[in-house]
This record gives sequence, structure tokens and C-alpha cells, in this order.
Amino acid sequence: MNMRNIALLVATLMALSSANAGVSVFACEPEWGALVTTIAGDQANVTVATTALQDVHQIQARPSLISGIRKAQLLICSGAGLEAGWLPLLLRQAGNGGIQEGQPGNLMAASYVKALDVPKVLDRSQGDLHAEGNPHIITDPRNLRLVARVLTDRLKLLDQANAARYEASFASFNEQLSARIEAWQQQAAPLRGAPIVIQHNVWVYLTSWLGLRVVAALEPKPGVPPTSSHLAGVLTKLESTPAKAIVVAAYEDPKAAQWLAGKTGLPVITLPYSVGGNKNAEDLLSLYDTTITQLLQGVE
Amino acid sequence: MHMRMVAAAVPLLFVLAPAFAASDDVTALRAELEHTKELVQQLETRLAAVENAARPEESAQVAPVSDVVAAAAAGSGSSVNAFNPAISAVLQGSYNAYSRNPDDAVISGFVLGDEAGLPNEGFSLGESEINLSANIDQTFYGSLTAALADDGEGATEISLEEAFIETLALPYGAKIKAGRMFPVVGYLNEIHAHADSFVDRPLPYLAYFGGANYADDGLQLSLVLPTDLYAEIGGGAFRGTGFPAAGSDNSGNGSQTMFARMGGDIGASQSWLAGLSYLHANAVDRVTGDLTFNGVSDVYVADAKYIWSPNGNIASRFLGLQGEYLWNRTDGTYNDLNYKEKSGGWYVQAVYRFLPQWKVGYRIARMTAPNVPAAFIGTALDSEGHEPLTQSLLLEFANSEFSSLRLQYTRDDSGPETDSVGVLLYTISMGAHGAHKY
Repeated sequence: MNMRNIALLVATLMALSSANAGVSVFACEPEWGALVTTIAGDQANVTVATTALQDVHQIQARPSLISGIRKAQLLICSGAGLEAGWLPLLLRQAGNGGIQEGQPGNLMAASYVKALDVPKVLDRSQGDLHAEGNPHIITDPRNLRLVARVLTDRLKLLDQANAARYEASFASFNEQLSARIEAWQQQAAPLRGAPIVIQHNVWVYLTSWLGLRVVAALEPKPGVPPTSSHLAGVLTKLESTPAKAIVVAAYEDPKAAQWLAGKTGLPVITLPYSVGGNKNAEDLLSLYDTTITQLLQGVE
Repeated sequence: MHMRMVAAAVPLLFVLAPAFAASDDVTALRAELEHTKELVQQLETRLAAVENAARPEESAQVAPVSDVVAAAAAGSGSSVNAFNPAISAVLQGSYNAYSRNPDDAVISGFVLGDEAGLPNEGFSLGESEINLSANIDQTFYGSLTAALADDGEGATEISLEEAFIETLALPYGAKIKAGRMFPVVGYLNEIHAHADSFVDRPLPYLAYFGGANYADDGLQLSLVLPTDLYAEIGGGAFRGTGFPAAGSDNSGNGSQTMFARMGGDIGASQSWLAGLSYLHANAVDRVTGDLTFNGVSDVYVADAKYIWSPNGNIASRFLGLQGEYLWNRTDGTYNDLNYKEKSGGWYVQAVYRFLPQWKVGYRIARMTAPNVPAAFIGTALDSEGHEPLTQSLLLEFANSEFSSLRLQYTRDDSGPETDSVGVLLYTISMGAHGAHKY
């Protein structure tokens, strides 16, 4: 066999193997893992770092996450500082060049949506603030659509052999999601203006989307656990500014909310927050279905 | 060019393109993404304006929660400030109570490095630490940590704790770290003292690494293996200046290390890490008290760590178990008298977070002192048959992840006479968000 034939054979084999291998993806949160699966199907080998029952602010840079990052060709995370306590350390420890900041294999979802809650003053006396704005963008499905577009482009770049397939999945998901967003907005119309109490401000995109009104937060400052004196203050505030429900995320400790519910008789709505947060939130679409259904039931 | 060659080259290029991050594609993609981002932002801003106009009463009432300052976010990326390194400072202060004079503290059978002594009695500032770190470019990360401390005579001492660069993008999971660092030896050595669970290092670290981290100047190479289970191997070569090495007269290459570690998860609630490591240190004229050592020190370490936390929510509740066994062989001369001995030491600790802001802990540490040659009977190296032992109880309150107050009681039998030690220590970190190292 001459050199040309060998070169041809090697190139063909490599092209074939890369076409079959698909993309190895590390997703920081379950919503992004679900989105990758939606767009890439079995072409993606997805490692999800956290579950909907975990507080993503407070994750340790565990050994299993280092090995997950080491193998990834694409990293998809919320960004905006949500993973500041562990992701930078993992990126350093794993030393994977393709997914470092600024590389095409590094996708920070919050960079592609309009940030809410950007603090005017950065001072930790105001709690654990995120300088780039609130990172919990998943609570508004319109953000999901924007991120899906960016993700599809990245997948196409990293795995050109399957580009058409990714584009087709995106088109079908986008169509489905757009229709559902319309439906959800109509369904959620009674929620507009409804006053609620929240635990931690993970809901700003949801409340801004559906027009819910947040009258109080159980945490005295973002990231600072509820204290009894602060809860007493919330109780007083609710006398003058009544609310209809207390909204907590599945991963949050419900003790403070239950205490307040006992004092006020308000219902506690435990929303899934992300995919897997409760048994109804099996995928991205059912996540919003159940979120809106639960809110409507609770607020009525 | 023949068609076959072209045919071969095309798929080859496709394969290589992602690997070498073909700059054309990336640049084009970035431009496209930036453009999309801009468009999206414009549309979203307009949408928000329309929505807010439609319900002005709401935007006024919800202001503190959902106030939108998109412009600020868009602007921050281009400011010169954004290129500044992450800066953080750690401040500590303590009140220490001893039942015996801390200046007389010894670990029976061992000479102690400079920093193995106990902190001052009463109010004590200890070390204040400043760290600067940043990605230097797409291939390097750099970090500088300096510690400021009172030298006990009214002057301020600045010591360089770490100053290293590290590669971020070598192939095959390889990494090179160069400069002054805390090499990987055991579990604790890499970790700065202020990040420990307990207020002081366990006995074997005091005995073998001189109380502070073993720090040295050199090169460390490591490889994260492409396995599902975390597995990393590595090793380093160092100048040989930090205790137990000394002198650096070995052509400036006096210490070597090797390590291997593995780790993983057991479901969502449990995780573990285990490692083996080795330090070979040459000492030339290492002086401690009235003893001068020349020779080599070999330290072998086995370490293990396990964390259980319901659903992996360490912020709410966790139980952390950790233990290390250190084994030492010393071969050389003290004051020109032959000394060849083996010794060992271990510690086991449990830390339990029972409420988000509260932790309790217990640690037991024990040393097996060497049987010294006859020539050393009666010196500091003679343990007189005493086996050093310490037991510590810890209570910690953390107001946030940036501040903590720790109260620790230690029954200290490291010397022939028992000491009771009480420490109240605050530790706060300012500036850049610290990492939650495992």
C-alpha cells in the first residue's frame, strides 16, 4: 500500500469515527442536560453535574466532576456566577483546553439572554450577589428558546457530521416550544399581579414573564439562610401587604416557608425549578406545565 | 493535486478542525453569536419596555426584585477593569488559652519546623493572606498568595506562600504547574490552613511538615486520566527549601514527589476521594533548636475522604469523614551523629453540619515516636516512651460562606505533660468568590 492510500484510509477512518462518536457534553444543571438531549438525542453523551434537588450555588468540586469535565467537548452552564464556587476550580483541575472560557466548547447560557436583577452596587452586605445579573434564567421558557439556538450552533460546529440533524431537532423543538409558550401565557393570565412570598430570588425571570408580584423574601439577603428575626419582619409586612402563596424551589429547605405558612395559613407551593425537581417535571416542556399548574392551584 | 489527495484532505480537515479550533470557524461563529446576542438584547429590551408600559403599577412595586439594568451588563465586558485579576484577602484573628506555657510545647520524639509552635497566648492575629489570580491567556493560569504576619518583635513579615503558573490546555489531560507551590503530598498539604475544618494542622503534619504547608519551588506534572472514575497521577521535582527539605545545595533539585488519587460518587448523596503520595526530601544543614540535620527524609502518605450529604446539598447538611496515615523514614546525621529511624502518625476526623450555619467536629491524632539511637537519649529526639496524642472538639458558626467563627478545644498530649488548649478563631474572606474545594 502506498503512502497516499494509507493517508486516505486513515482520514476516512477518522472521519467515520468522529461521525459516530457524536459529542461529549458536560452540563452544569439538569435543564441544560435536558436541552442537549432534546437537540442532540443519542449523538450526545451527557454528564449532568447537579440535580434539581441541589442548591447549585453550593456544590463542591467533587472528583467525579473533574473526570466529567476532562472528557467533555462542550460545557453548558447557566453562567452569571451561579457556578462561581466550583466551576472555575474544575476547569483548572481538569485542564481541558477545548472548554476553557472563551473557547467554542464553553457555553454560558446567561450570556445570551437579557439579564435581570443586575446589581447597581456590588457589596456583599447585600448578600451573595451576582455581578452579571440573576443567573436563574431557566424559569422563563423564552430564555430557553434563545439558549437552544446558541447550543444548536455550537453542536453543529463541534460535530459537523451531524449538523443537519441538530438543525432539524432545533427547528422542531423551537416550533413546539413557541406554541407552548403562547399556551402557557394564556393559561397563566390569572396569575398576573398575584402577590407571592419567595424564599430566594430564583424566580425573577418567572415573575417577570408571568407578572407575579413578589412582596417579600424569606432570606434576609440572597444566600443568607432565613433568620427568626427576619421571618418575624416578613410576618408583620404580610399584615399590611397580604400575599397569596409562598413559593419555594424543590431544593430549598422548606422549614422557614412551613413556619410562615403555619402562622399565616398561606399555601406553600414547592415548584420543581428544574427538570427532575418533582415527578411531573420529567422534561423541559412538562417542567413549565407543572410549574404553571401548581401556581394556579396554589394562588387561587 | 490528485483528486484522491483532495478527497483525503477534506475529511482530514474536518476531523482536525475541531481539534485545533480552526480560527476561521471560531471567529466567524463568535461574530455571529455576538450579532445574535445584540439582536436578542435589543428585542428583549424593547419587549420589556412594552411590557412595563402595559403594567406600570407592577414595575414600580417590584422594582427591587426585577429591576432591569441590561445596559450595565452589556457595558461591563468592555471595561479595562474586567481584565484585573481576581483579588481576595483572608483575615484571621484568635484568642488562645493554654493550661501550660505554649513556649514549652513539644511533640515527643520529633524536632519541629519553624512554624510548628503554638500561636501566641491571648489575643493573636496570626496570618493575613492576600491572593491575586487570573487566567493569563487561553493557556495559562497564574496565582500569587502572600501572607503577612507579625514577627513577634513589632515588625511585619511578608512571606510568599504560593506563586505559580499552571497550564490550562495541554492535551491528554496533562497539566504542568511551575513556581512556588504547595505540592500534592497527602490530602491537606495542597490546602491553605485557613480552609481547614480545624483551626490547626493534625499532629503528623506538625511533625513532618514543620507546622505549615510543605512549600517548595519547582515543577509539578500531572495527568487526569480519561476514565469515568476520577483518576489522576503526577509528580514533581523541587528545589528543596521547605521543611523537611533544607539547604537546596543539591544543585537546587533536592525534593521529589509522586502521587496518585482516585475518587467518585456513590449516588447523589455520597462522594469519596483516596490517594497515595510520596515525598523524598534532602536536607543540608537543617537547623532546629540546637540540632543540625543532614540527610534525607522520605514521607509516604495514604489519605481518604468521604462525604455524605442528603441529595448532595452540602450547604444544608453533611457528614465528612477524613483520615490520613503518614509514614516517615529519616536517614542522616544530627550534629554529625548517625540517625536512621522510622516513625508514623495518623489522624481521623469527622465533621458534621447539622444546620446550614453550624458544624461540629471531632479529631483524634496520634504519633508513633521513633526509638532513638543511644547517642540521642535525653535530647529533643528522645520520646522517652511517650506516644503523642491529641483529641480536638470543634464548634463552628458560619454567618455566610465568607465568614466563620470557630471554637476548638484540644486535649493535647503531644508532649510528656497534658495541655488543655482553647481557641476562638474568626476567619473571613473578602473579594473574589472562593472555591469549594473537595
